Amino acid sequence: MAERKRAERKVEHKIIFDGKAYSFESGMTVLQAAEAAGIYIPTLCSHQALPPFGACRLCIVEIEGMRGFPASCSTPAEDGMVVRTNTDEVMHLRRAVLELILSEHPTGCLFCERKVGCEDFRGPGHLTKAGTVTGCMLCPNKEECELRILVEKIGISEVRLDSSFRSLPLERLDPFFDRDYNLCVLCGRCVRVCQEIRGTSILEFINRGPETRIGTSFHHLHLDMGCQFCGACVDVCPTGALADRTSKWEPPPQKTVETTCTLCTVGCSIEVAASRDRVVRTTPSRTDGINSEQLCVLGRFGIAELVNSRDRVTTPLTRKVGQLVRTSWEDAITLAAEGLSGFKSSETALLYPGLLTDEEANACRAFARTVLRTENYPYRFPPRKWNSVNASLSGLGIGDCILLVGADLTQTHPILGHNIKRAVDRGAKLLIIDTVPTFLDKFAAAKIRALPGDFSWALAGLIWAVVEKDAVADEQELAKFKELPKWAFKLLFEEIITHIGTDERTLNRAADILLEGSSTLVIVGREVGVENTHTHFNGLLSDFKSLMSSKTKSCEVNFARSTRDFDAHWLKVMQNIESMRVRALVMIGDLVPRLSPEWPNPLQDLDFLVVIDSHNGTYTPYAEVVLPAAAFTEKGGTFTAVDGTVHKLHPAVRPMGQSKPECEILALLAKAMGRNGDGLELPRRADRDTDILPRPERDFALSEQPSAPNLSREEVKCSNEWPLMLVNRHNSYLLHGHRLSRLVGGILSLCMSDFVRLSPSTAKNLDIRDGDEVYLVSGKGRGKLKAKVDCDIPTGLLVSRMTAKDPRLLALMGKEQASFWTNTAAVRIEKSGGDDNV
Amino acid sequence: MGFKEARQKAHDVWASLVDNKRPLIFAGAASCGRAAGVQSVISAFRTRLAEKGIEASIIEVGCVGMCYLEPIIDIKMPGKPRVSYSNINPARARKLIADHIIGGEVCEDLAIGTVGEQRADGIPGLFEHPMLAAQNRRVLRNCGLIDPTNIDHYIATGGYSGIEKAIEIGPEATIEMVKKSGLRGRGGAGFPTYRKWEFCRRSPGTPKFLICNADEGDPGAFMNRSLLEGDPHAVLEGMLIAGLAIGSSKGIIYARAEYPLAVERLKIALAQMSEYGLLGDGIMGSSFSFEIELEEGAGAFVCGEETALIAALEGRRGMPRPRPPFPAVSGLWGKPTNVNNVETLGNLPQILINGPDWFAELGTEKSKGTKTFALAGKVKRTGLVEVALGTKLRDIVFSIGGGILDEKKFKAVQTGGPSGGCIPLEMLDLPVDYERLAEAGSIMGSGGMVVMDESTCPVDIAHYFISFTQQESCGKCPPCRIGTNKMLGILQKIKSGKGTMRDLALLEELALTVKRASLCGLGQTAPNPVLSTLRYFRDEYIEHIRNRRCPAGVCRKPRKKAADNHNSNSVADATGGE
Repeated sequence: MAERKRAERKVEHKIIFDGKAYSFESGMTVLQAAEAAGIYIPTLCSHQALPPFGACRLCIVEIEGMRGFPASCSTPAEDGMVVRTNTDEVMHLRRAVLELILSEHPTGCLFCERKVGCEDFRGPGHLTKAGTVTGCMLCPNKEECELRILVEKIGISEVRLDSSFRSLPLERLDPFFDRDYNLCVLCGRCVRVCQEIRGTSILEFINRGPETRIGTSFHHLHLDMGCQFCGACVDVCPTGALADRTSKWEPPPQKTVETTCTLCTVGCSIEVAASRDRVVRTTPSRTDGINSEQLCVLGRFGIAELVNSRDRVTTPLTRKVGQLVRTSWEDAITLAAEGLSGFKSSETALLYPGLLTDEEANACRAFARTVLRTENYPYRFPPRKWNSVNASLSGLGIGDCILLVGADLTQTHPILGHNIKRAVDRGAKLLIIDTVPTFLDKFAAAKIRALPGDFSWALAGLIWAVVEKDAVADEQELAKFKELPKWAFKLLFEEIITHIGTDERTLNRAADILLEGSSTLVIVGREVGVENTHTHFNGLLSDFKSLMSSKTKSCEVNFARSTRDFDAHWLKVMQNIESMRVRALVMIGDLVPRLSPEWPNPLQDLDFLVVIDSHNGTYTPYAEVVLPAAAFTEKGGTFTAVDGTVHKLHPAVRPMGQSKPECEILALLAKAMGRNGDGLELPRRADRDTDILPRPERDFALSEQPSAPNLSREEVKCSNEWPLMLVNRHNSYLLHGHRLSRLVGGILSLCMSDFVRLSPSTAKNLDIRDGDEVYLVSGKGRGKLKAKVDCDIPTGLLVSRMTAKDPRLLALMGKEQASFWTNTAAVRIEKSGGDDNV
Repeated sequence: MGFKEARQKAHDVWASLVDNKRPLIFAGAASCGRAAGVQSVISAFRTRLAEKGIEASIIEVGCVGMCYLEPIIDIKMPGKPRVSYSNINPARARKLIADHIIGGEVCEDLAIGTVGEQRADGIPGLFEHPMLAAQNRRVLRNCGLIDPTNIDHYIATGGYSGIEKAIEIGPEATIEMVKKSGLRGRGGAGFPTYRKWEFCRRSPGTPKFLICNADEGDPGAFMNRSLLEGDPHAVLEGMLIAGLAIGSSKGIIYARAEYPLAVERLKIALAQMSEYGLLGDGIMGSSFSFEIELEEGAGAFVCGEETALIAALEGRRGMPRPRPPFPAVSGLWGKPTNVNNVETLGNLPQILINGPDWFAELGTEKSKGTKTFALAGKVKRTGLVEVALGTKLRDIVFSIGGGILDEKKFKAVQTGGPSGGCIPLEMLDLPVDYERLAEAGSIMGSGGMVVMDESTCPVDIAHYFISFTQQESCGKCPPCRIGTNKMLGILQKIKSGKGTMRDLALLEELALTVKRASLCGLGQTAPNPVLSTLRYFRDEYIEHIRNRRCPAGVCRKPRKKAADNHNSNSVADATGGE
């Protein structure tokens, strides 16, 4: 009996392809079942990451009991289905459809009888500088083209129809990628990935009939449409219509290497395509990484440009008669070691960036403690592991809540932002407490607006709303909670509401959502870490968690805490440099202490500066010795991401010029200084594709706890004279202190640092139009910016993205305020500035 | 106000019309009447009546289907029969006032018939007119007779008794009744309505949506427009019945924005329904609740396809998607959705009132009931007709349509608009039903019927319809987007005398590819005009190619690019530019 049942179950998953039975898993489409069975069905519009679309009509098959020729990509496989994939009629129709597609696509090279010889002759070099692509020879897609594969597999050797070349101009006005819609086959993959996966909806089918194209609404630029340039559309494009501008000029890649992106702490898996010793491009890895085959603009387009930059330091440099000159490694190391040895250990310091591999971060700390024997180095707390299995974002779905407090994740950790959006797609509910509108706002179930400094108030309000509901399951917990004389409960609910200016309904709705959910993930952005009320906030946060824990499993990712601690250490080292207690500094990267951007040159009083860096930076000209470091695509190791997971790095290319990984450089220095540098060098086996290295030790700790930095934020109030609230949030395109806008071509246009966004009603009141130049005037100074009218901005608020070093920002906010990541000022707008003093 | 009182009130209102105290003037003010100038006629009536100090009521009614006789004005004097006059202009209006209203004499030269039981001397009943006599007006029974903006007229003529019955017998019995009637979707595909309903009713998920597809876009077709303009409540009552049957509480009308009058009349009708408690919670004191929302399209032909229509309602680009999943499982906002055509819904109230057997009396074995057709082209009597399914094409063209204009020879009739095909003289005895039309290479479609005479060129016909479909293709799938465009190119070549026999073979092959490989109904049916003309008029194609000559004298070698548009015999004229 049981046997029979098993047999029946087995029969349930049978599908017959061309007379042979194959098994398939329920939920598969006919196409997926065929792929699993190893049967080739040509497709153009289907893509594994995207839901079925059924447009290209190449995957048509015959299915018994179904009328006509259903598309296999969109037909669910059913038990006992009889499918014929290669009847004469099906093959004929596929050829006919492909012929139609090719009648709109340049085919010169596809059917050329000299194709093979020509391709061999052409070799890796490519004539892609041509403005109009008339054949594969000139196509930016090189030979990696799905259309070519289809022509071979389906087997057509001519197009009998009149060809219709669209003669559209190449679209090059946006950064990062070129669009040549003459090559487009309208498979719609780019449109779908943009809408359904990335949630941006920049691309859409436009026009109809034979004039149908892919494009943006009203032919606006991608930049103006709010495109994030994640490159997802480029990655799914089967033709050369969308082409990565950097790799367009590079030869076809010879190899690809899986590694981890270290441009932020998310830890995305990437695939580096390299040709000889150049990185050609980076694409999301197809293995299951945290980024699930998606990347951000930096990971997709930034890396190749960054590591191939002309600004790379390729040889060691030393100062000879006031000039930096090229020298050998031995010479440079000896000079650096001699220089450093001349100072007392307490007079030395080491500064290193947060985004190093674990081994390097470890080596840096070891170098500071055992070689320099100093305490003048910043300590980076290891990221806490997210303390619930459910909390890893990929697992979130229906019934889960995500509470974002002051975390503009799409900016700081783009892929985490993307994963939150995906979780919302799966049914999770998103609550946002933040100052400025962020990309994630449109996916939020409730938004609570809080000005900088008011996050504690907003959270207190939320706790109040939850307690007022009295719906917390554990009565005892609630009673206990109510008795406790907590900070929040010295305030009245009404007071909170008046203070943060949110209406009670929003708070109540947020509380409802929290109470309905079965688990809550709290993500606290680094924004919160610089609050005056930071300690209050932490207290409230633990209250909140204990309140929610009685009903739900809640967990927390706190960027604020680690940022704040790191900042505190920074400040201590910087104070020592400032007070000349530190005379000699080893600096990895181009680190300028973020908290004091107005210093003219904080390092000018140093007696001895060693810079270890991959790129030329602000301080290279002042250094005695400059040692070239390898970029992250050139080295191996491990990288601990923000969620505590450990990722592998594999070198894709050899270090550029004479550069070496930081570990190696530090080990050389240690040896030259006569100290034991054994623990510093990168273990050899990391170069090989072995398993993840054991977690490096992390038990270094400072003997004394640093005192919290003395940050104070003055309260900003709007008045009749200064009616508008300006909120500036620095952009986060930084790596090791280098401004990426300098090193990567298109980043500057993404920074929006020249714009101030304002609501349509504010613009209307002041008679300001999009693109007008306006002067912002605060009690402290004035600055000229371009107006951008944006429907997402609430009335009365102005939002800008000036960098920390922008003189306009310093003028408007004063240097104290400008040092925060987000800063505010009460301003008014003047349309013409009188005397322009900026 | 309960429905019983409402019905009583409606009967009183209707009785006051039948037994009127002051002159009543009914003006055929549907789109066809308006195009013929009825508004200036109405204002002429108003002015002259005011001058003469006569108190009369002018009631704007829908179209009785005799569009070629518009503007049609009915005059009913107290105690006298209601007399219909055709082709009225302001001058004739003044004559009517002088002779009929003041003088009490029926103008026999202008009169076409009397409406109602009363007869005037020497004037036959309107429904004895050859155009109307051969028809079975069931869906269109009220069109042109009642005031579409007055719910009382509809109720008095039996309106909203259907939903009353449906509520009484419940959803299952309602579906059973529709099943027994054999009603099939009137949008063109002819899918049994009850099966669609059952599918949707059984689908898990709430809420369920009922959509009325009023996005009639075929050139030359105006069945739905006339029904919505002439008797909107019939469709709305049908929506209530369908909503009850599938277990939906939310109905949406997706109306063509190019039908402003229909939209306006729907809006008025919806407001009246709310007022009478026929929308909202607890309709007629039952537990059935229903809301109807009106959405206007943005002018895309393809949005008549149900999945594209749903996409457009969701605010997305109107592009069809492959089925399964069918809308009955995952439709609007991913919820079970049932999409019915205007005419399908318009049939429902009477099936409920008169029973399925009454409905199935007419029709053929597989196609029951009646079907409305927009009769246009080169016939003497154009207009909106409703005949029993199975009626021969010859009867429609010659008995109802009165034969070909100017005594020319009949050549073909195009059914189903741009998705249908040409049916030649030899097949005039074809009974019109879903299966037979498909066998002949055409389709039933939503009911467009364009008659062509000997001066019509089949290549030009194919060219005209293909240029329409290629322009209206949504662009999603290559066969439809590129294939129709290439077909148009070849037809253009043949028309201008540059075609070769190889082109003809390629045209046929392309047509078959587009028909078989396209994603949705638009592409799958787009080649029908080409395939059917190739099937029946291949010799004329060959004549164009071999002898560089158009037998019908329509296609000329294009001297200028725009030459085709000015051709007096082209199809755009035949369809009245619809």
